[in-house]
Amino acid sequence: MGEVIAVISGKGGVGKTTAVANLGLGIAFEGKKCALVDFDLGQRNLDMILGLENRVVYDMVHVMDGEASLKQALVKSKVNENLFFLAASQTKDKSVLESSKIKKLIDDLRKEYEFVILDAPAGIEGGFEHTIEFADTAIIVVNPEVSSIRDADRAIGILDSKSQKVKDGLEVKKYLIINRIRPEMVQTGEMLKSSDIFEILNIELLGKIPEDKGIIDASNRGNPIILNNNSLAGEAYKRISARLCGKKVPIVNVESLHGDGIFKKIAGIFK
Amino acid sequence: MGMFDFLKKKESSSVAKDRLKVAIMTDRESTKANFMMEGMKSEIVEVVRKYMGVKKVDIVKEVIDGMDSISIDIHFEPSSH
Repeated sequence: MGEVIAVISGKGGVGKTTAVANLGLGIAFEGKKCALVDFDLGQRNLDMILGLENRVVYDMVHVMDGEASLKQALVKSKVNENLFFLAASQTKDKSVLESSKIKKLIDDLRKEYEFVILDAPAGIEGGFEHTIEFADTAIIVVNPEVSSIRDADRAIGILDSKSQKVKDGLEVKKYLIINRIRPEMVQTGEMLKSSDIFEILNIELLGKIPEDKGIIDASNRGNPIILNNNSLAGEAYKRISARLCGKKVPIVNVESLHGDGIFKKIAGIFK
Repeated sequence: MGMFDFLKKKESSSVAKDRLKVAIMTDRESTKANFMMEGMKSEIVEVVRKYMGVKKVDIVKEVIDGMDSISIDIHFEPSSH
């Protein structure tokens, strides 16, 4: 039985969908079968990031309503045969989501795939609860920025009370990804350090991703950044994917990656 | 410590950390209280419904003379007989 991972955040725009696309590919490159499901109904985006928007015929609601089979609706990745994608519906109302139908969809997926990754809608309304309800694991994506961190904590609170696993007396695994770290700002004390963030949120750190201009270019083309071998963010996603597949990969101190910034050089002169 | 350190503003990252700690602590308490209230409400409705029709249940938490108290108002359907 595969592991079901919900990728969540409190506030929108922190890079959740980008994370889902890259982790999906990263896991597929590790040789594991992986299905990505876009749960952001009405605001489908994962198809664009994956570059698969032209191949979507059926979406998740078609499958749940029995209008298409899972096999018909899943779109195969262009770059790796281990990766499949199920689109969110673009038109139907969010109220079509029923727990029993979602459970069936997720159970069917976990029979076939080693990893099932759910891209949660932003915020903590409606669709969010459905995304976390049947997840074994939650990955919380934050930016090193106050509103993102505060909202993430609220999302974790709701996860802890609405998850079926928690209701059954079991534990939902929770991991943190800190995205869009700007090393030079951390070094000058203008941006929260990763250690501060996981101390505040009190969950296990899964990885740190530096801000990377290449992300926009990657989205423009529909080629996730993990496919770019010269990208720091892409490398970070490779490490995180390997960790999710059970490999012991040490956390890289992303904050010091550009350690020879102008401030350090000036400081160096006076040493 | 340099002699002009007092001129330096506190780093904004540590200001953020302090503010977040306080804000999150308050948020967590209210989230917890909300879930408690929700749970309590639905159980009360279940119990009262065995005996009479319930319209709604209001739970208000307040502090009276320095004592924490909870008042529960049950609005029930008027009986048909």
